[in-house]
Formats: sequence, C-alpha cells, structure tokens
Amino acid sequence: MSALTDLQRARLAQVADLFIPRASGMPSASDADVQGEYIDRVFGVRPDLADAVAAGLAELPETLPESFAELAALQLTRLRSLADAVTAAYFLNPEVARRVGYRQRSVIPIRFDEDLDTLVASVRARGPIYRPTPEPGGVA
Amino acid sequence: MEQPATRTKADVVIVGAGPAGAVAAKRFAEAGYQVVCIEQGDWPDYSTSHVADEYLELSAGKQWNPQPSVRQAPSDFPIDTTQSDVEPLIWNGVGGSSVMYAGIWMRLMPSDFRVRTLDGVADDWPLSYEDLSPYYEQIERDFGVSGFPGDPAFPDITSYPMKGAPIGKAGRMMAAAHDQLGWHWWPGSNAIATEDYRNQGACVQRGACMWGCINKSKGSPDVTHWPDLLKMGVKLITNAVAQEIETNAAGLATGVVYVDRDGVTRRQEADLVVLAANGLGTPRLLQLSTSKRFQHGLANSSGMVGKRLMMHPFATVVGVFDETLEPWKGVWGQPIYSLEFYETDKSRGFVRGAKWNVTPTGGPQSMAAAFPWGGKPIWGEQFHDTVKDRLGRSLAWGIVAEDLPEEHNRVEIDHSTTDRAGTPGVKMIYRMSKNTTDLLAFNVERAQESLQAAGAKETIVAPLIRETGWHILGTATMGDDPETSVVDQWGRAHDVPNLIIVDGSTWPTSSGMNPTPTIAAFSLRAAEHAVAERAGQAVAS
Repeated sequence: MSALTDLQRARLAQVADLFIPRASGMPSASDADVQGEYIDRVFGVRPDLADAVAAGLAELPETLPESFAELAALQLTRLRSLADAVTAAYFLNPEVARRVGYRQRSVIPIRFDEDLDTLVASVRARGPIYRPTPEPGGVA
Repeated sequence: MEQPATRTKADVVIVGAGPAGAVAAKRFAEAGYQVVCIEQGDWPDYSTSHVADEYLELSAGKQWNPQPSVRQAPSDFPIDTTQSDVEPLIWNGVGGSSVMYAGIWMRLMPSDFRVRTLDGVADDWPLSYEDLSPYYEQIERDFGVSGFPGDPAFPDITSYPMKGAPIGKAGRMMAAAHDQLGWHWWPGSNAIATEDYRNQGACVQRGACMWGCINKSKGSPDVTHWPDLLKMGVKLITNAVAQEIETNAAGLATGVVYVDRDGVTRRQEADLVVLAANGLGTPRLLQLSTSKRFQHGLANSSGMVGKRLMMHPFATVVGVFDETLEPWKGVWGQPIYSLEFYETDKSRGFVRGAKWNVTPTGGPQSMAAAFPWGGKPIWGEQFHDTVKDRLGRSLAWGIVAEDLPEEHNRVEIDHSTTDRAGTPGVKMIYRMSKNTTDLLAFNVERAQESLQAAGAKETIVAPLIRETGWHILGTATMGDDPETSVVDQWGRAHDVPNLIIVDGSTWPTSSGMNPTPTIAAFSLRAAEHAVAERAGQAVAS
C-alpha cells in the first residue's frame, strides 16, 4: 500500500467535494475526512485501490471545475474508480453511517413465518402451472 | 520437474472439489471406494470475510469477487473473454463456485428435460424429471436446504429439511403484488440452514451470503461435505492443477497428471476418472488430453467437447419504494421467487422462459454503482437525495433466462496464455441468441409491471452487463447418440468407458433455473450408477 502524500490528500479533498458536496443536511466528503483516516481505511482492505486513486488524482486538470457535471464532461478514464473509492471512504465515517442508517450487517435470529399457508392460498388455488413429462413419443 | 510420486492407485480420482465433485466423492466413499480428489485451489479463508464489519462492500469488490479476472487469485486460470458477451463468474477451490453463490435452490421443472418434444427446439435430456427426483431429495438433505413445500410449479416437492427463512418485507410486498396480478410466486428455497443442522450453523440474516458466510449457514461443500469426507478417508489434494487425463492403448483412462503446490508434476492412477471441473474446466482438460488415439481431445469423437456453451444471461429490474424495506436484514438468497413466465407460450414470439427471484440492492456503496442502477452517475448535487431514495427502499427482480444451445458458442484452448502450472488457458466464444434477447425483453417488461403493482414509485431496468456468467453449462453434452454427444445419461463418456463427467458441462439444455441442485443430483445419480455397475466396469489393468 502506498500512502498518499499531503499534496495528494489535499487534492483528494477538493475533488471528493465535487463528488459528495455538503447538501441535504449531510456533510461533504472532506467534512467526513475522506482524504484522511477513511481513505486509509479503504486502502487497508483494498490495497489495490491505492494505485487507482493516485492515478485518478494525477489525471485531474490543474484547476478543478466548479461542479461534478463539468468534471464528468471531461471524460477522464479513471474518474469512476476515484469516485468509487471516495464513496467507500465516505460511508466508513461513523457519523455518516449513523445519518444514513447503515453501518454494518447485524445478527438477527430467525423467527419463522407462521402465516405462509394463508399467504400462498391463492397461488395453490390456481393449481399446477408445470407441464408434466410427456409420454415417450408424444406430447403431454 | 517430474516425479512419479503418488504411486498408489486409487479406485477413483475426481477432478474438482465443488458440488459435483464432493457429491460424487461422498457416494463413492460410502460404497467403500478409495477416493482421491484433485483440486486446483485451496480452502476458502473465511478469516478474510468482512460480512460482520463495515468493510463488506469493499471486500466484495476484490477478495470476495466472483470474477476471476478481478480476483486474480493464484488458483485462477486465464480466460480470454474478448469474444464473449458474458464474463464467467467462478471460484476455484474447495467448495467450488458455491462458496460464492447465493444459495438459491431450484429444481428443474419436468419440461426442462423435454425441450425438443414439447417446444420443438434443442434436445431432450436422456433422463427425465422423474429419474432425478429421488436424488434431489437426498441432495437437499446433504446441502441443508430450507424452504416451504408444495409449490404447484413442481410435481412433488413435499418437504424440505428445514423451514424456510422469513420472506421479509420485500417478499411480502411482492407476493401481494403477484396475488393482485394473479401471477405465481412462492416462498424462497435456499441452501441456507435456518437452524443448526449437521455442519451448518443457523443463519443470522446478515444478507451477505455471497461474501464469506462465517456462520457456515450456507450449503457449500467445504462446509456440508468435505469435513466429513476427510474423516471417511477421502484424500483431497489442494492447489493441484490437473493437466491431462492419461489413457492406455485400449482407450481406457488410467489416471490424471497434475502439478502440485510445489510445481512438481505428479500422476494419480485410478480405475475410474471423474470430471467435476465445471463448464470451463472440464472441456479444457478434455481438450488438453490429446493422444494418438484421441487426437482431437479425449471423449471427443463427436466433436462436441467445448461446444454448446450456455451462460444464462441475467436481467435485473429495480423498484424504488417509499416504504422502508431494509433488505440487508434477511437472507440474500431468494426471499421469494416467481415461475409465472417460465413455461413456453409461443404467442410471445420466443420459446422457453425465465425464473425470477427477489433480490436485495445492497448497502450504501451499492447505491452509487453502475449496476444495477445504470444511467447517469449519481455524484454531485443530487448524491445525498439519491442515496436517501434508494438505500433500504429498493429491491430487484433477478431474472434467469433459459439460454438454448448453439454450437458456435464454445470453449477452446488458448495456447497464448498459461496458468501458474504452465497449463494453457481457455477462450470463450459466446454470443446471446435472438431467442434469449427476446425472452429477456419480455420478462423485463413484466417485471416492471410487477414492481409497479407493488407500488414502486420508480422502476429501473439494469443495463445488461457482462459480469453475470454464474452458470456455465453444456460443453460436454449428454445424449444417447455417441455421434452427437459426449456422455450418456449416467455421465459416462461414450468414448472412454471409465471416464465419468458429473458437472454442468453435461447439460443438453440450460433450463432457466439456478443449476447447483441439478448438478449435484445428476452427480449423485451418476455415482450411484457407477457403484451399482462396479462388477462390470471396464478398467485399465
């Protein structure tokens, strides 16, 4: 894993806010420290993404556009990888996870459905829907 | 470096430790055979699973990704897909691709075995639903299947080993919609233990079945079969790449040449050779096994080895709802399924049909993915509102389309690439037929109607993407006629009496069902027959 330089992190913060701006009561990507702890956590699980992010940053124009739409219009080849990594880092922030209502999967013991006979009654009432095996040499 | 090593002759050597190989190994071992299994990969490492932490979606993009070209594991062999519409999704190791499957458990329907007779296309199977039915029942016990019996889409499903998992909010909503439309639906059947069962633990509904089930609830043979097989004395050789099936002057198989984990070439001799290496690996090994007698590959006098590749293209239609569904709180598998449009209705302009199952849409990262959402990227000003709309409020119909066999869809040896053992890779040539395209289009329209009936405020047809090749079938087809098929109804190669193929490569037609139950049932039936016929079995002396 190759850690990002300070310069790369600053650049990441800028472009990440084009992907995920502060809006609708939610923090922006840089508010959520995507460029710091959370991109490092992404690389911890997916070291293969470190090179993709570095390459994506290197591909950006020196002066970033004002909006994601303008950035997307440049049709940069690595933009999708960069956006995916930023998105993953963003949702790793616990406060973001709390606000969207999802952090990780939880253990839920099974409680069986007890009403299935009632639920399938109309399906059963319509009868078989399969074609039986035809007799040899003929169509059923 | 070649060493004779492994001089002990086995009764049977099996190539592949996935569902087909594990089932055969179990039956042979129960009958007292000395069994050796050669597996190109290793055991799944569940310690790398992230199903219980916040990194689940990240790990699904690499380590637990079913696409070999993404995963790039040492056990994966090169597959050239430049001439294929679909990417193969497989996992090479103990348990096979079922380590990464969703556990969806569907038998075939009777008509699947009689496509020629009923619909005038492709070929009938040389066996019937009734021939396979008792083996399904045994396999369902062995894989720890849960479900709700009595579906009128099948003749005789009267019980499952365990009660089905809850169908959840999403399942109930779609069931109500189908009742309103008068369309079939049924509670999902899955190879997912809903209570502690043999080697399986009770499912805890993380909805992460495909990315390393640490509870061992999912019925994959690394859990359901191999621990017991090892205790029974079956010898499992992992990280061993099979390179050739050897034959003698009489045309009988004598054993398998493989490269072990240290790069040493070895030879496992056996009376019977069983191939369970899936629709890619099996034709690859047959095509690599050339000799003076079998110049075009082993068991290939028909010329059909590698041909008739079928891939089950998938379609997905998403519904976005106002209601909170929290689809990650349940099994991933299939909460419910529908076979309303499975049987042929020629007025639709195509033959055969498709199976649908409700499927979750995932966690927050998945809300920004190109699949299944398609269309414009969601980033920018609308990012948060789009995530809020989709996350926990969406579900999808996954649609498995029957794919009819065509000889030009095929698997060939690719001598320009090699795996870690120096064995040539394969090339897939696969194009979707018009029947399949029309079939998918029809079902996509009906799925939109289904979701709208359930109250979806928006439906999204996922782009047809390449990464859907879970089911690789047909490349060593089964039939009664040695001139047009590779194996008979017992999986026995027409050309080589002591070579048996038990995986999905034997399928004459693909059905529209998830194939693992039928692959396993066929393997059990084939092994059972071999055991019964042991006294008359021709073997190399």
